[in-house]
Amino acid sequence: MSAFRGRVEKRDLEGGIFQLVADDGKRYTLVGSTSGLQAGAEVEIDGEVEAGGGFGLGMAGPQLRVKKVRKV
Amino acid sequence: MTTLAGLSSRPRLTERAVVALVAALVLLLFGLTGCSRRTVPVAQQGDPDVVPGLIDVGFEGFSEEHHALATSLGEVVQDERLEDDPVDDVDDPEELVVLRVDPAREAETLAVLRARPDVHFAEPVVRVRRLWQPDDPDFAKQWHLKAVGAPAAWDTTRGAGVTVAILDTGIAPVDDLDAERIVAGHNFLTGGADARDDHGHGTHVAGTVAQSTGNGVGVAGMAPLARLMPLKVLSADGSGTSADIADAIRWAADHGARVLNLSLGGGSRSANMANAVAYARRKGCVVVCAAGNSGSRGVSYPAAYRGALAVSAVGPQGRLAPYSSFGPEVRIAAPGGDKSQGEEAGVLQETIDPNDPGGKGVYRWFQGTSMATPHVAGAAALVASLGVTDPGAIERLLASAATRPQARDEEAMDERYGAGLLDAAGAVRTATLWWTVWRIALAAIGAFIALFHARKLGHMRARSGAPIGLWPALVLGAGGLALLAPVGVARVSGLSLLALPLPALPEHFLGPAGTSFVASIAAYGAWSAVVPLALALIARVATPLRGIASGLAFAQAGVLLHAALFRTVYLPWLPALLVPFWLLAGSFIAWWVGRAVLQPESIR
Repeated sequence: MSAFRGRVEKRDLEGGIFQLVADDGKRYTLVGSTSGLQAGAEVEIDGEVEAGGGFGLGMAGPQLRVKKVRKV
Repeated sequence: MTTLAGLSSRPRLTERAVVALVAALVLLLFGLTGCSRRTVPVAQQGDPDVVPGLIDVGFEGFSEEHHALATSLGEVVQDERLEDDPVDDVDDPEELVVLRVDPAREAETLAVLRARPDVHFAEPVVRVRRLWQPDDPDFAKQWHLKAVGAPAAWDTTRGAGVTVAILDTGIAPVDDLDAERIVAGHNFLTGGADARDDHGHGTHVAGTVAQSTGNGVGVAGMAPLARLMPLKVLSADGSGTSADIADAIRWAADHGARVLNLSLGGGSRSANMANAVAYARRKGCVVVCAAGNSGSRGVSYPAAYRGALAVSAVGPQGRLAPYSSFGPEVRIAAPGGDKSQGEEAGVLQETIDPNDPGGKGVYRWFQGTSMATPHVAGAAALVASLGVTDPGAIERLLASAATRPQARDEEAMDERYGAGLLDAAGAVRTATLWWTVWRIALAAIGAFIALFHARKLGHMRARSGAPIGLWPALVLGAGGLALLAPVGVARVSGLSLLALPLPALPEHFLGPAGTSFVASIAAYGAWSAVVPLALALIARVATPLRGIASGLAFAQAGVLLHAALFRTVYLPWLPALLVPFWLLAGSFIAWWVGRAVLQPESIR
């Protein structure tokens, strides 16, 4: 499990997806435990980037499977 | 002597007339097609088609005063007296007058007429439009369906008989989806048959393909009479695995789906998924996939696999949406919405609220290449319902009808739009009008050669005409009634089958060839000379039917030759490369049968 720090964005794509714009500039589509996420929040996320970026309906960057979210 | 007379004979008048008629039809359709390569205007489509300056007036009772009044207001175009109203069963006599006035004075004239107590009604005349307009209340907001010409396509077909698999988050049984058209699916996450949606994405996508249309509820879909096969491969958070997606592709191909819609993707290659796409193609499926939402160059998988039909997304103006991925794999573009121009620039369908998955359906505007994909899948279903069963033929039809945006940089346009913007109406028009003319022309040429040959060898008298019924049977057997399709016969239940070539009928009733032994055998029989041969044997006994049997045999020869040349037919078991040879052989045998019937003694 790795930690990712950055800002949460809600994008109006495919009915609405959450993304993390990480401090290093990378953009991840958030899947898994995404309930309670708020757009604009600065967070630290414990989770794993899915192998090969994963498959899903977002199609806008690799998927980060969220285990735990901490506000910073 | 007959032989010498035959050698010197010229084609008979009736035959020359038939050839001239076919040539005229070809030229006419060349003209029609030339005029039709354009996108359907979006803004004007939903507006009532008012004829300026023409007013319809209903006066109470009969009176000379009515005519005098009408004449003082404008030119009386029509004056009709009704003793009673047969529809409403009202006994009041009524005088109906159609009045032509100066369009500038139309409003004033309407006000004068409406103020009179003896006027039942006075209203502008509205042109009756050819296009079938559904009564779904929010259809007018679906710019995206009109942009791809769906209403014009619905005059010919609405996708009956075709199953579209939706590989997504599942499908929720919302009010505006016909539950009877949702066939058995599969949940690849849990392993059960319950493939209900717990997200909303799959239901929205399914709605674009086949939302109930003309039911007075909600909105419309591209192919409203197509069946939907829900395959749940994405969980409630919208993610899935390549293994489940690959399994679902194979499952769909094995269970009767003709079109697969994959509004999903990822960035990594999977050999398993690539093989599954190739498998589905070999089984006769069109695999339509979203190009991706990266907003940059790089098409996601499975769209980027060979054999997939990758779809990019455009907004209401037909320009690439800012989020849409693009690249050399993009094959066609379709409306996916562009909400940077406002909420209503998205794609409107019924779905479920993800926060209340068990609740009532809601109508939402979504945007994404996922929304563009089902427009293409729906168009593929419309074309497939016309008996075009080879996936390559469906893709070529959609590509050839697509409207190419004007651009200086051709390569950049290819990567963004592929063949161009989807035009479902154009593809449907080609598969009915154009191809029917081809079939009739090929059949007529075959018949003409056979008649010439029979006279030359003295098997027919030089001065005798074709047997009675040959030409009508030829035209009808080659699918001549499909020429009536754009008039709107598809609106009448059952008559939509008239737009199908005869050999496509068994699959319409038995299901796609390849999904059952019976359907496969029936398809092989239908796309061969079996039926003409049987009819010829009947005509051998019932000689008055000779002309009809001969005409139908030449028709079948034309239909099979067209199918071989345009590679329109999928047949299981045979490699795709050999299918045209099967069709060519059938075409030649059918022609020979038709020729032999002209010389009955040769069939022994």
